[in-house]
Amino acid sequence: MNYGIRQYIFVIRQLTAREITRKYARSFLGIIWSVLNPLLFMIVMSIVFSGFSTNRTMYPVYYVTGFTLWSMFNTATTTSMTAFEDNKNLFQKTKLPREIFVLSRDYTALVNLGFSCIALLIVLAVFRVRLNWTVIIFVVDVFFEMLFSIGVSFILATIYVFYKDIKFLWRNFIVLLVHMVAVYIPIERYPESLHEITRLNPLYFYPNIARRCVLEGSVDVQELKLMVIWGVGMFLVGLLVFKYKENDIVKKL
Amino acid sequence: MLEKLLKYKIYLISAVALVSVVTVGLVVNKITVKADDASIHFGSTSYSSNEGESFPVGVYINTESGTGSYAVTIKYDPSKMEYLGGADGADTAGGYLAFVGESGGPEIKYMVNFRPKTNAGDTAVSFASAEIYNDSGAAFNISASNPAPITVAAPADEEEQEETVTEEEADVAAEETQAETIQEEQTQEEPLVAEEEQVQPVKDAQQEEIISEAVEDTAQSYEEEKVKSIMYHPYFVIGVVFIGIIVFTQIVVALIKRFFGDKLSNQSGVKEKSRLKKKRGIASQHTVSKLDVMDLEDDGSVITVEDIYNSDDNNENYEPVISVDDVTMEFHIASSQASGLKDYIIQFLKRQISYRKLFALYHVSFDVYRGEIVGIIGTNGSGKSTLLKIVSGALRPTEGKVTVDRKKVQLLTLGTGFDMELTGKENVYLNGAIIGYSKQFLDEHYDEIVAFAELEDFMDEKVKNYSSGMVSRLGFAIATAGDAAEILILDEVLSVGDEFFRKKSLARVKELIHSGSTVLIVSHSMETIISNCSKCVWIEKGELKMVDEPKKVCDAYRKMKEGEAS
Repeated sequence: MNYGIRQYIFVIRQLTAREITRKYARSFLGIIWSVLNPLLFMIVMSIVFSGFSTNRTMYPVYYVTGFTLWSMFNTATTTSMTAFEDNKNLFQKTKLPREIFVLSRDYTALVNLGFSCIALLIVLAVFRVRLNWTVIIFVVDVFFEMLFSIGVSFILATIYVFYKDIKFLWRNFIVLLVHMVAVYIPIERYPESLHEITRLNPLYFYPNIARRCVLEGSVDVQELKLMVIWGVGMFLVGLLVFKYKENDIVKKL
Repeated sequence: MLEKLLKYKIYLISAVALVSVVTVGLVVNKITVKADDASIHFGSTSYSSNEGESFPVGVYINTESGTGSYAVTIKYDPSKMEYLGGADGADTAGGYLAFVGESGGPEIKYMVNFRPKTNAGDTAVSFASAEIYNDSGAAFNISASNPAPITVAAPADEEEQEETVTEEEADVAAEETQAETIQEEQTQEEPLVAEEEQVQPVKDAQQEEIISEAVEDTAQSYEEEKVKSIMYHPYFVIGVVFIGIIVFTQIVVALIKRFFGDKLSNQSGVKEKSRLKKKRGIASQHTVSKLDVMDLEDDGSVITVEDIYNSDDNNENYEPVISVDDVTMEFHIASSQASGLKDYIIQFLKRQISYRKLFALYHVSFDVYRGEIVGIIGTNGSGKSTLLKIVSGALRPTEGKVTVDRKKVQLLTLGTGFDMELTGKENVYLNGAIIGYSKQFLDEHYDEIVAFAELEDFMDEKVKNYSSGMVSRLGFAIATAGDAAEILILDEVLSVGDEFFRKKSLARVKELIHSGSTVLIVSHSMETIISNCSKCVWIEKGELKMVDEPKKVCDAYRKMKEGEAS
């Protein structure tokens, strides 16, 4: 019986495989939906907001890049919120670290992002966006957003065990949040007074770093600093919250 | 690893909090106080011109990472020079020129043209104000260069003029930048350019003194200011206060632990007893000596219980593999289950929330030695599963300690993590992974598992289409596929499938039991326990009733059951 880190990764991958097979269990196109989803959204949004040319780039490209990163956070947090509850019976009987259940949901979101990136590549190719070396930053950005999402997921999953309301609260909050982070509408369209506050929002600058490095080929050092701080900070806080409450969670379940 | 860390949880938490506060404090400090640097300067450190001839002055704005928007004003003396053009805006009466705009580049360049007025003497241009922001709106720290002196000569004295200028330039190059202003002021005081040559040596000496002093002064005050600005920065203050609080509480906790630690642990360990003692204390207030004796007896009795275990220890001659030491597991059960936040708040306001304490285990102690096969019996809900969970490490006990090498423990339960939507094959891998088999192991043993479960034709079928017997057969096959671990815990794995499969599974379990050195079995079937175990633990309503030979324990258990029934 080995319970090393490799075993954990194996378990996470198995759980992730389960999540994905289940999610698309009865669908015909299966995982292709992960590619189609952002594309369909992009088309609709581009029609609706066709007047919004940003002074940076074309709207569809702007939108898809931001949306891929945003939806990773969205799916990661909303799905992993129920991770403990859904795996109740597993939870008590294994010696596996409980973090794995949350991590597997987050990993699922990451895999999903991988497929969404296909859509992103298609759009980039169609609009002939020239890529710079700064694309590497995109990977780093995704990594830190993942850390950030994991942190938030831990907190949400912990709360969810005790108060189911958080599910509805969070769902509404997400809907509100999407309008606060300049995913649909470029930040230049926001009222001046909101710029400063929006720029400090982690969910604004994760997509924004991605847009910057993919579309403009530039990097803002200050944003990168914030990226690391928020990612690592949130991850630690989430982990601590969970560790602190772990025994209570097991008891409650 | 984590287990070990958890022991030092409080230290870990405070350490992480400390580190994060400090880093966040410092980094935020850096971000807000020290943005990237920008500099503004003139094209050259000094200018010279002839009366009536126009000349250009270059104004440069440099930033490290690209300028967003900027607003810079420079000042000149309108009585001595006439502004001809080149700036974005001009206040010719006051002598201010403005440069405003937006740009993405790291350098912005302006050429401003001036013409000296006829009655002009020497003058200078200097920066009056500057604000530069980057793309995301953060302000730069601006270092402005010093005023650029402009010497104006009459047309006839052209040659001489140029000489002085070069000399001056040499001076400028030799001295620190701070010094330039002073030097410039000094030269401006000199009324005539022609005289300057003569006065120069004396003045140089004077100047150097003044300059060096000035440089030191400004450098010092700058340093001080910098230190002060960091000291009074809110994040710094918060960080220091926070660290202070943490350190203080740590010290207090450590002190408390050191002085009251023994008493505290005693109190919590034997709540029941202390209550008894109190009662007795009240009853026999007069006979203090008697009470003391009784207390001693009390302690003595505890020791004797331990002695029994110790003697056991000596008999067996080796360390226990599993040592359950005074374990109490306490569950808080809210008398009214608040399912949501709303309910909770309402009930909280109504003060309806009351917790019922439930002791799933109450001061349970026993040891298991290498090579023993221990059966655990007890009625439903008596805390058997809780005990197993604690031993396997899924739960942490409220009180007490379980010493066991968790790496060697293997808990076998049926169908943990079966997913009805997945096929049989996928479930083998998923369940196997959760139990702790590596991918390689599962690849190798897959056929074996399937053969044992007799499900060769159904592996690509979804598990939801299986019969319950098939599911448990598969579960059993996966659970028992591996080689037995050193400490094996079997949780109700023996009542599976039909008659034939049960025989087969019993044989497999026996095989496992006899290859693995130490086994814990939870079962309702007393026959299995009597025929397989070397020792039996009986837990009833969370309390340890009996630890003895299986036969005796089972007899007693049966008797109690029958007594209840009749």
